[in-house]
Amino acid sequence: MGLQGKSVLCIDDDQDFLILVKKILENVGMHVQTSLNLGDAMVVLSEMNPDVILLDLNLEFESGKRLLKLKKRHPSLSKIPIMVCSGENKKETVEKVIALGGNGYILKPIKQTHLIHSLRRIFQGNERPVYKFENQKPPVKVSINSNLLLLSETKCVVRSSLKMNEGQALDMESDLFKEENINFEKLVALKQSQPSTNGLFDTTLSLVGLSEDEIRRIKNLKSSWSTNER
Amino acid sequence: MKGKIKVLVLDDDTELEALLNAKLKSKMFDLTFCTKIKDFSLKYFNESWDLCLIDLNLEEAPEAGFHVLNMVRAKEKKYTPIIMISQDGEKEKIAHAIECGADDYVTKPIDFDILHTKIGQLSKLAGSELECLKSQLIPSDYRAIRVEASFNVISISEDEFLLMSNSYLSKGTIVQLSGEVIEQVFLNDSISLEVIRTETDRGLYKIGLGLDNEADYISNVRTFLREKLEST
Repeated sequence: MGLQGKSVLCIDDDQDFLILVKKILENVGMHVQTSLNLGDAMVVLSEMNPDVILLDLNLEFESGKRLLKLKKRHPSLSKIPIMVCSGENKKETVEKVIALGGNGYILKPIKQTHLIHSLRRIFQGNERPVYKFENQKPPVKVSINSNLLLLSETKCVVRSSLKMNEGQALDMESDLFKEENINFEKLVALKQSQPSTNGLFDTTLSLVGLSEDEIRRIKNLKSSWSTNER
Repeated sequence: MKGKIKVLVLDDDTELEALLNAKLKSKMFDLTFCTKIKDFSLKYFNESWDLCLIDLNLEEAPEAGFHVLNMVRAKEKKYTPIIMISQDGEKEKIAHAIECGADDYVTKPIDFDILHTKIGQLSKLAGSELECLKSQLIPSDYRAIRVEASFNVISISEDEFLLMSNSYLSKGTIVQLSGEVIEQVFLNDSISLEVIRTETDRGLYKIGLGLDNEADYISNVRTFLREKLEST
């Protein structure tokens, strides 16, 4: 796993250190951005998503730990690995950094080879293995909470976050149908789902395969509901 | 509406023929009746129809309608919606007809409001003009339901369970997954995950469900991945 082409943001209050690290990492083909403090770093981060952050723990007026805490809360930041760089070699400090979500710890003064190896290790760990189903894509049942809005003897309208095409089939679990012992054979979308609000869609589904008795029960339900409305 | 709905009927019950003629033969329908299977299949395959009505029980043979249904669905090049008609309203019969490829089933004596609406729903030509049945608003106690659709799994990593479907699912939806592959990966009957991304790919949707790296199930996912990746 090469570092070439990868981007890094180095945050350190020591200008000389930044110059040194920039030189080392640019030599292996990395794109290097630098910041002297967290405020400056946040501005850089709002404009770019580096592949990795190299973070000094003891900044001039603040602790680098603050960025680790921010990482936990911000989804955009949480994907970026952070390598902590510090002169502190206390075991507790290292443990604290890892517990806060740091992806690695390098002791200052840094050695060139050590820095490069550590960064490589981060990217290796980051390349999560993916298993692809090549030929047969196994079926899976996807069940979601939805709402039943309307009902007639031949169809119903469902509001859900599922947008269906005409002719697609669906299954439904409903207390109403259970209580009334209404067992359709299939529910088929009569046309493409229509967008409602907040990422929801209304789908008109045909109730296929109802018996005469079941249709009568729906008829009775409808009339009882309409009387209640009045 | 663009034109008359062409309906081909297979039925040897003269009473029903008279009834259909009286109730359906309006400006909207063009009805053609056959009493023999041979005659029906000739007409079915040589002409274009918007919909067919087939009586399950014919004098030629009891439950001959199933045979006709199977034959038509096996041979046809152009799909035509079929509604089965029968005296027999047993659920097993209805289920069998749907399994054989019927689009719906109505029982005798025919409720013509239902038949009109079903023809309207099934034939592409007709629209709401044939809608005779009012939909009623569901009382709030009964609104909460669960719907279930079938998707396919494309890939699995520690971060994402990737599905494919011709249905779209909105980001942020919590879905419950079940099926054989879920048992294999999570060692559990079902699992709840959140949709983290949806993208289109050649007319289909790729739907990414996020996996939580701190959840109890993640060790099972890792074991599954290790075993699968080692064997390939």
